[in-house]
Amino acid sequence: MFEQIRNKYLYNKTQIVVLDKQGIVLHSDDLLYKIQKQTSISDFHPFFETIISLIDLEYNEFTFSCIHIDYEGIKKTIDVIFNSGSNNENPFLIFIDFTEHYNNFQSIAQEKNESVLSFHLAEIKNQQLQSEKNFKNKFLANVSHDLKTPLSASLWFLGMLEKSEITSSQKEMIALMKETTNHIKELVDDILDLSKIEMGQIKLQTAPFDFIEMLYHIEKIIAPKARTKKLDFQIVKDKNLPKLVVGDKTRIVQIIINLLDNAIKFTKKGSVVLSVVVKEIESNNATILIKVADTGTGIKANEKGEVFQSFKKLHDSKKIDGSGLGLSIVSNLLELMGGKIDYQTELNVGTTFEIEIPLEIKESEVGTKPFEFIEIINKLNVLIVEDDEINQLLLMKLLLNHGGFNINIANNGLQAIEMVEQNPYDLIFMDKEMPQMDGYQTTAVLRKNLKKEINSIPIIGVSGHPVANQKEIFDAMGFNGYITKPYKKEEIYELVYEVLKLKKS
Amino acid sequence: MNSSKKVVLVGHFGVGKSSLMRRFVQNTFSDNYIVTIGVHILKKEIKIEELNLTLVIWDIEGKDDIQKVRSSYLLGTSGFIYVIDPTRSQTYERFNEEIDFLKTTYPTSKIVSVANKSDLIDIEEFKKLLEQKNISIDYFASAKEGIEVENLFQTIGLKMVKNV
Ligand SMILES: Nc1nc2c(ncn2[C@@H]2O[C@H](COP(=O)(O)OP(=O)(O)O)[C@@H](O)[C@H]2O)c(=O)[nH]1
Ligand SMILES: [Mg+2]
Repeated sequence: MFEQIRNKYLYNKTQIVVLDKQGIVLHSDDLLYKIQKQTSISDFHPFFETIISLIDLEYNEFTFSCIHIDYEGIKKTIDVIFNSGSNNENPFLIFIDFTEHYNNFQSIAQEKNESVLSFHLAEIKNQQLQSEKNFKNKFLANVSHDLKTPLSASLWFLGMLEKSEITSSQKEMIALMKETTNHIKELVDDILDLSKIEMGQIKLQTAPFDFIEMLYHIEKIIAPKARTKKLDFQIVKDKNLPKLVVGDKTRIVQIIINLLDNAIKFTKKGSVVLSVVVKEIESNNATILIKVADTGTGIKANEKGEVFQSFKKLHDSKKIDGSGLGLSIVSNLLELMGGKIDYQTELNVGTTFEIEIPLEIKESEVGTKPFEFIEIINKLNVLIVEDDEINQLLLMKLLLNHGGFNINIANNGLQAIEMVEQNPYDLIFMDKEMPQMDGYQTTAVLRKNLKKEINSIPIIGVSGHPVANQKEIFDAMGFNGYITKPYKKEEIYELVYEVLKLKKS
Repeated sequence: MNSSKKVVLVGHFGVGKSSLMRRFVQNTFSDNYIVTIGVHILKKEIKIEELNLTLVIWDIEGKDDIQKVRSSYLLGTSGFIYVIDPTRSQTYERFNEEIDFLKTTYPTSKIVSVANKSDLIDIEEFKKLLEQKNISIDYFASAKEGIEVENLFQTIGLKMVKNV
């Protein structure tokens, strides 16, 4: 019985080969492979070269597992037992056919190792894509950066031309040129922003700010745009909105403005509503839910997947205006902030974008400590360097209200440089954006002036629209402080005290 | 004169041991990965000056630790080719330890090290990285493109024959 089973199942799974001391095949039962007798076993397969070198060893037995031997069309995976024999016994080999067993084992290993390798290969591909993308972004960032200056110059010259003696039809043409150039400038700014975001060059600033006031600020910017398109614009605020929060105000403003601009752009009649509610508060962390609902054209089903895609839209010529990059910037910024964006849309009914921004609520008194007025007895000479008349007026009024300042105005950088040579100034307000010579350049020139009384005049930077890292930039350029529109008079006064080291007597 | 030596390809799985052997012996390459289990053995004759040297090449299954390799596979080895994959840092993290182990356990055998898949990387960058990690690799090869494959087997042959 045993013999029968053994013969049926095991007999044909083994082979015995007897060698002489030189490794020549003497006998073989050839149950697995037909081996040539009277030739070296290493002619059968190179594996056995190793075996021959082991024959000389004292009596010894070795097992070699999982050897693939492919001989005259017979492909098997075997274990080999080698016995080196003794003085009066020939060395011999036993082959055991484990092909099936090892094949199963191979499939398992295949699955496991393959998944590791393919995961890895995907990662490498991804990195390559990423570096291509970075190259594209760097290129775009450089180009758009280089475009900014000439564009600003064109706009400035157009502005000058507009004010000169020209006919009304010329005025119209110039207005059109200004509009077009402005459009290009917006596009360039958007491309620059987006490439920076995608390159990870945008770092979020976190500072406390007044959330409610930020909404007013947004209203001031958006309301006139809605009015020109005769759209109804409303802001709906939750009573529970926190006042002081910590976050990147500039970027949050950018997000909301982009959504509102987008809504206005795609709405011909009806309304645009911005609603802001607190979705969740957990100890000091709030999630603010912001909705921008319009009654515009809606988004076509086939465009839905592309709403947040960067640069995709640049190829889409049928867009109304703007770069179309706004939403992509929004979703990228939100991702940076750990926020979310989603939207519902119905064709010819309207679209509602919904975003969630996590913000820390600031409970402490930072930034809200009561303002303390300091009287200035000996009048201080202040120079305001600013090209925009309205801004000149605003700052001047603020300072005059405070009292204690003699105020001069320079309309541009060159004029400012001349003026400081003629009069001693205690303080300069320097607009960062001016045509020809901007605030940075002017400050650099002043800081390089050889006269100590000129190169050390405290300079406060004035930033029209805030940009990322504004503080670092102003610091690096040698400014002593900076203010950002919209101005709050107490902030400006406090900054002036700080820069001029004024103490309450 | 004729002689034959056993050379074993060692290193983690998937670094390209089988591919290097196939490129060297059969001059073929495939992007398909077929996991090696156990050992495949092929031989090829090379010439070292006047000597015809048969390299009996053992392509064994990859292991992340050389000490896990079945010791019977390494019996009578004259030369090791230690293969790493520069795109996978795990395959060379313990490189120096592994080489030290081979040197102490098989003091008479020769070792050549090779970074395969060099077609996928910036070689100069990778050399800098290796320098930082204090790893010295002899060859930057590609089984896929047939770069340095011939040289690396020639070198292990020469080292074994000349005992250098
Ligand atoms: N790009 C590239 N891929 C390679 C190279 N050598 C091997 N491969 C691939 O890497 C995978 C693993 O190769 P293989 O020789 O089986 O590695 P082993 O496990 O070390 O024997 C396979 O998909 C090969 O096609 C190479 O030089 N360049
Ligand atoms: Mg292999």
